[in-house]
Amino acid sequence: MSRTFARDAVGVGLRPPHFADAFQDPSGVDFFEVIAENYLGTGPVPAANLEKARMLRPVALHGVSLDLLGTDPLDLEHIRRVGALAEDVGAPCFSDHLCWTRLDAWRSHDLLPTPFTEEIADHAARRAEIVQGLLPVPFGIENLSSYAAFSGSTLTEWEFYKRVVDGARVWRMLDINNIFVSARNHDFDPRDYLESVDWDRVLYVHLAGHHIRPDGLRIDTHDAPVCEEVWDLYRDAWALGGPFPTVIEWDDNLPTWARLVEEAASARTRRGSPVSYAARTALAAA
Amino acid sequence: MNPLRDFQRRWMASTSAPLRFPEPGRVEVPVEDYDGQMLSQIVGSGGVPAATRLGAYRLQYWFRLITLMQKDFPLAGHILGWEEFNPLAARYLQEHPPTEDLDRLGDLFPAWVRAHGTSALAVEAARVDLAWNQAFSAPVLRIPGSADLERLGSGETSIVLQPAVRILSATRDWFTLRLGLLQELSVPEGSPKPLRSAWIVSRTGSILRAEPLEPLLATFLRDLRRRPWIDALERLAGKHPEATGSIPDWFARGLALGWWGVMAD
Repeated sequence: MSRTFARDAVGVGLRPPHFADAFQDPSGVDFFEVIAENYLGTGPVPAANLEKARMLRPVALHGVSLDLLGTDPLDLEHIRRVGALAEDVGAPCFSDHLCWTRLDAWRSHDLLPTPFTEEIADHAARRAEIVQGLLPVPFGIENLSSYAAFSGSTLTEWEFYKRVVDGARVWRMLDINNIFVSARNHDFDPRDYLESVDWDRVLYVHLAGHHIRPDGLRIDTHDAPVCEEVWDLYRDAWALGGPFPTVIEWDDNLPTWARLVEEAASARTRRGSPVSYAARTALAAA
Repeated sequence: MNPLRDFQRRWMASTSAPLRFPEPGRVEVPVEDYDGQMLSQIVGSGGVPAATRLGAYRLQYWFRLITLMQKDFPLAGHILGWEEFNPLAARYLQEHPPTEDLDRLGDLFPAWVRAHGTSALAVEAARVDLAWNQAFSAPVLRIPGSADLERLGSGETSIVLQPAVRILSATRDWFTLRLGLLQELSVPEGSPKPLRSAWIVSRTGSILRAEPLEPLLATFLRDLRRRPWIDALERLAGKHPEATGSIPDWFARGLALGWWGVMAD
């Protein structure tokens, strides 16, 4: 049976170097998010750690290899295995990215963009619908951060994302940092993006740190604290569509567990009070 | 061809094109390698041209993989020095691009460095690194219980070495060095002290350990990988009758250190 978390819950991406400290004292964290692919192998060590995590907190599964924008056939066996893992750990949901990752035998191990067109959005929506049909839990699609935009795009990023999620009748796993990174890299207003979000369809949101290169390009590195501008955007998102669950992602230059919990605490204190989505919608209609 | 697939082919060719290492410690991203049609589809803006934007993905592809190789092969990197290791790893990755399972990225690396004329010491270091990685990610068999042990004497046992167990010959004490490197301790430059021996790498729970083995025990354990207990015991008794008295001690030691598992029926 799946274990849910509260609508205003704050979780963290749980990474192996934090296992010992997290298992000893998980207080301050309402749920864990883990990378599903790390627990699909035969190794007993990851499985044992996942079992410990699951005993302490609900565990949401997050993937990196669905290949929704890909042109190879979907890996149905992989999706079934993710579904079985979700049942094993009682995960409330599974999410993966709006990107492509592979082509024939080539594996990028990266989250790659495409132009934003109606055709490609519909292609991804058809694939996402198949994924949801095979999974026993709600499937959320995460918006991508990107460093390249394409002359062939006919939609904005948020129009593209919405068309996929709505077309597949699945959920959003909204990454606030990714919105900010793409906005800075491609010169759009991130608040326009937030305005397009149907907040009732948001499973949870991601927050993370990123890196600014000397040439100004922002790279989604997850190796630093959440920056002030992203906290501001999070506050705006919360006012627009909160409450929603929040996950702090930190994957490189890992801090201590205590520092990560501190970052999660910041999410609670910085976001202020949500204006209810229903109330806001009623206000807009008036 | 499907336009999206054509786009992805051009992207793949551009972002997995090799980096250049013109001199130790320097990396170049040669833009002339890019597919012109790919480049023309990318919008340069904000003072960041299209080639730089595509290059960000190319650097990310290579740095991610080379960083994984560095993590998987700390001993080989220590012996070669990172300035020599990085271009070598890049060449290896070009010939052996990643598959789905990144845990297996370096499986062919020791054989590859050997075939490419790298020093014997670096090859040995890479071999030890690989054994360690494989021991960590190997599946675990059921631990023998009393019923399994009772059947041991009859020769009808299905006790075997755990898949995590690795037995290897080494001319150096790599294992102390590796622990030091992983714990980011200050370790001496160059190779560790000579110590010719057979070693066993094993795992209990999530703890990996390595220790030197008596030569006859190493021979016996290697034999157990190839044949059933009863046959391995007979061969040992035939070739080294003096060793048979040690078998109960060896077995008890293996039981304490998690060497033994039971094959599923």
